[in-house]
Amino acid sequence: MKDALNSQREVILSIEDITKEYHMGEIIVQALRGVNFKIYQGEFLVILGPSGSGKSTVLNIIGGIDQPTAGKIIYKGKDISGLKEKDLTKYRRSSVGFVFQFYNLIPNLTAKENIQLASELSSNALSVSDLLETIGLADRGGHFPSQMSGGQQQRVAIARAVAKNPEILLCDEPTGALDFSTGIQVLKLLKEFNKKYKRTVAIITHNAGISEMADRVLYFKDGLVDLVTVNDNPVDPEEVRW
Amino acid sequence: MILFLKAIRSIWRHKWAYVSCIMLIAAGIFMYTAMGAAAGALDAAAQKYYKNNRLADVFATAVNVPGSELSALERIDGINELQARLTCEARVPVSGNSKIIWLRLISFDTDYEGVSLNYPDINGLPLEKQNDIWLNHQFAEIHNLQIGDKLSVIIDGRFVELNIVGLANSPEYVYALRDATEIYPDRETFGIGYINIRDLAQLLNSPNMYNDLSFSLENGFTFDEVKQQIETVLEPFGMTGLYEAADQMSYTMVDAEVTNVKAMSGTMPLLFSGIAAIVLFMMLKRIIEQERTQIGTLKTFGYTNREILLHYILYGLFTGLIGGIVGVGLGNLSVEYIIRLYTEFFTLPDISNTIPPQLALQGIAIATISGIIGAYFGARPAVKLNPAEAMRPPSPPEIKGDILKYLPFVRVLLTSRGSMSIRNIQRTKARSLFIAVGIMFSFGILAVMSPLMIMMTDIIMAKYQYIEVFDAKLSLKQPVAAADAAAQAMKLSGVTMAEFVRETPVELRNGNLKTGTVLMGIKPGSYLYNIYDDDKKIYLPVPDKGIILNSFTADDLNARPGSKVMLTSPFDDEEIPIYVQDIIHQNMTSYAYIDYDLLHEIFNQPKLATAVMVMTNDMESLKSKLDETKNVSTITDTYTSAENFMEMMNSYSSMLWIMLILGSAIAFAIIYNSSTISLSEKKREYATLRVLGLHIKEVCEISNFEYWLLYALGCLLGVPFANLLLSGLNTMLAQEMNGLSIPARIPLWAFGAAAAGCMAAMILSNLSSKKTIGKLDMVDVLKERE
Ligand SMILES: Nc1ncnc2c1ncn2[C@@H]1O[C@H](COP(=O)(O)OP(=O)(O)O)[C@@H](O)[C@H]1O
Ligand SMILES: [Mg+2]
Repeated sequence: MKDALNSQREVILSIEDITKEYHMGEIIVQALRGVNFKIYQGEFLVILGPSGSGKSTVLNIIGGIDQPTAGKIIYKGKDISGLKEKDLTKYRRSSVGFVFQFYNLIPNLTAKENIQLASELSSNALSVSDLLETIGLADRGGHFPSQMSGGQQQRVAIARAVAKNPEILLCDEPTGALDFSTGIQVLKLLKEFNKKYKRTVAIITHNAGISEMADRVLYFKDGLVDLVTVNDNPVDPEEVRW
Repeated sequence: MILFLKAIRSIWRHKWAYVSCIMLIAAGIFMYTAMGAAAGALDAAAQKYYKNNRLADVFATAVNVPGSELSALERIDGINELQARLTCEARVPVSGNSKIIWLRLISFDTDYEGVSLNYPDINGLPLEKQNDIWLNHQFAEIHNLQIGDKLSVIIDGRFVELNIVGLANSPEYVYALRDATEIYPDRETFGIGYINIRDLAQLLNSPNMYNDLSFSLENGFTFDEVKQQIETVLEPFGMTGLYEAADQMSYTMVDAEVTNVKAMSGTMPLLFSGIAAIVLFMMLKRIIEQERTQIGTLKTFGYTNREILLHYILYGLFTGLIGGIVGVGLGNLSVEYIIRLYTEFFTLPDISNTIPPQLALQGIAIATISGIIGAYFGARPAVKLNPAEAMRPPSPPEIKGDILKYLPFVRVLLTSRGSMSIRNIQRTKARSLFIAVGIMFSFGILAVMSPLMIMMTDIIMAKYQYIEVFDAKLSLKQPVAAADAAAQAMKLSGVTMAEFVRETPVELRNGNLKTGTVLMGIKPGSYLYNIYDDDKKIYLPVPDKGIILNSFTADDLNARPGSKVMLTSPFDDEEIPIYVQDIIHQNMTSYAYIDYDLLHEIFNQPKLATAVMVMTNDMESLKSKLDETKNVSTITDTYTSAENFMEMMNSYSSMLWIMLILGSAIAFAIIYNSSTISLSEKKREYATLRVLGLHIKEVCEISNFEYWLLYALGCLLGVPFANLLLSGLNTMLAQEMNGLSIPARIPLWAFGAAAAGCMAAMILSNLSSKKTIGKLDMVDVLKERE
């Protein structure tokens, strides 16, 4: 049943034997110790796990902003682990959207300009005004980040990540700094992108409730994938228990 | 102690930024100590020289004063001592040397016991035998003359052989200019010789006659109190000059040099240390923003505000102190060289060539204080933080009023990345202004200094190719009938053309503004002298229009074309009104011009000539004739003058290089530091951009665009600033070099060169930014919260 489900879907990203070590003088910290998993085209993936288990590290490697110590990341049949800086940038530019816990909007640019910043990079970018509409901030496009609340900023950050129309959207604790209702809004947006544009979304969270809306859940523990579960009936974001 | 360790580590982390601050301060202190020491040494040595060798208080020159009149002068109230001397100009024929070499012979009273007025420093034997002479060092040295050698000179057309028995330098000729038309002392073509007064009287055939008088004043008396009475006594004997020591040529030149160098050594370090202080201020402000949580933590531990402030001030103290020490060290290394450059022009005994400890300490103090001031203002916000507030992240930058809102056209042109750059400037207005001003400074210095040599060469060429077309100018001792003058000159062998002019010193007055100049009466259609201005526009004195004034003279008088000014006749002291026909800018001449006939008409004089200009194809023979023609006082050949000028220019070139290097260093230090600081502020933004998929190059473009805008602004401001700098330089040069000035306009290419120089600094700093942005660790930067 599980295999049946997987085999009918196309693998977009395959992580093979990824390890990551940090050398701190004499001590070696093993953040990832041989991680293997696949991400399927169009799925909504949630990565769960205690703090320090290697979730962010793996997401950063997938996103091409960090390099593994060993192992392969096969994106659409091509290994990106050995790419040069320039090609890695191209990969990020065309294929990946990132959402962070702390938004990281450019303080000098208005909401609309922050989204434009990303859409200017892509040839099949989504419409900036549509996105503003979608995130419910159509009337706030001219505001600077400092003039917006955390939830609003995160919505802009998601719009910015989505604007390029990337194959895969990576979110590292996107609701970590938000309260319940704003968190739900953000999750709704992510789900919408997943459904409407049929794009892959991977979310890191330490909030187990969120995993109920996932197609699949990866459990991380001590730098390894501990468990993978499949959700046959993912719930709506509104029904997520916090 | 731990805090001290923290300071050291922090400084080490930003070491290049500190190094450039230190360099700036060191450059300023270097100039302060080296130039200050040079000026001080020059001043001290000169003052000591004047005192020990009893430089007279008052000097007078006259054609011929009989010995019998001296007692009348001595009786004047306030006059303490009188020295009566004979002087004359002798020519020194040196075979194979095409230049005209002059030796000023000054009588020496061997009977005077003790130290007479204007006593020379003597090295050698006394003047005992007939025609014994002491020569000044510089002259003897360059002509390779030694004690025991014989020297042939021509006095009034007669050959005389003199015996060199010693070397002597005079306090009257520290800066040995032959006359006021000379621009710098040429030790080769002008020497000074002391000869026994009896011998000189015999050689000049004027027994018991004097033409050079010096006075010392009794305590409490001033020049003004004795001036009138001396004038009364000397007037009948053809008084040609009466002035006090402060107006003596050499004294004035030494004084002007000391004043200028002191002023420069005072302002330059302020400029440099000031810039360094601002850079420090910006850096510390930034560091403190980054370390606010640390500061909060320290405060919750119980560190006092004072301790924390002191901690950060330590950074500035460190920078200033090291900068000061390095500056003093550099000064110490180079002061000897600078003094040596000085002694090329200024002949002084025992000139010190070290930096006085007091000056060194002052230099270090200035450096340290500017470091502390910069650090203090940068660190002050740290004190204001209360611990709880410090632990929270700073409130995000507030954007007050979006400039782009007011620039809709610009906005259309810009991508969102362009908007980032523009708003970055808006966000850090003070720093942006500082960068623009820094670029303006460098641009100005580079624009003025780089073409200076070429501009100078141009003026020299212009003067001798366009204005003074003649090969030589013979100045006459006594004016002669105009018609005769040219005819006589044409008879000299080799002379192909001759024209005459009449030159006379005049005083001009406009209201209560007064100034002196030399008025040249010139025939219309003169071929050998053309009144060109700097733009090579030619002027002609129109007979019924009036006089043409040099712009400097006109400025002194606040006169305009059409103004009526008063001209004091040198012949009868009567004031004659005259109109200003034109005002022209001439760089190396300071004449006022008038039509030849008009000059004689207004002064009611017979038509005479005071100088003859000639073209010749045989300069040698012209010079030898000069010794036979008694009435020619000097002969100036344009070739030698031009050559001397070029020589002097070359001696200035090392100075120019230093200025050029410093100019570029300022630009680099400012741009580099500012961009380092702003990079560290924007790390997070740039990391975000990289995550979004911007290439390193694209991120650099955003960061650089801002700087190129400021660069453009700085260059734009630099144009008027360069012109201002040039006019300042002009004033200084005019004081120091006898009315020499440089063109008022900077050539276009120099602006180009300045822009390129600043651009080089920009590119260097861009490259360093690129390196930093390339190494930006996205994971690391984005991990922390803001
Ligand atoms: N730059 C680093 N240097 C050393 N150790 C690091 C670094 N980044 C992460 N680690 C370590 O790697 C492990 C995994 O970290 P991370 O992926 O951030 O965990 P998570 O996101 O699951 O909380 C942790 O033990 C962490 O301490
Ligand atoms: Mg994490």
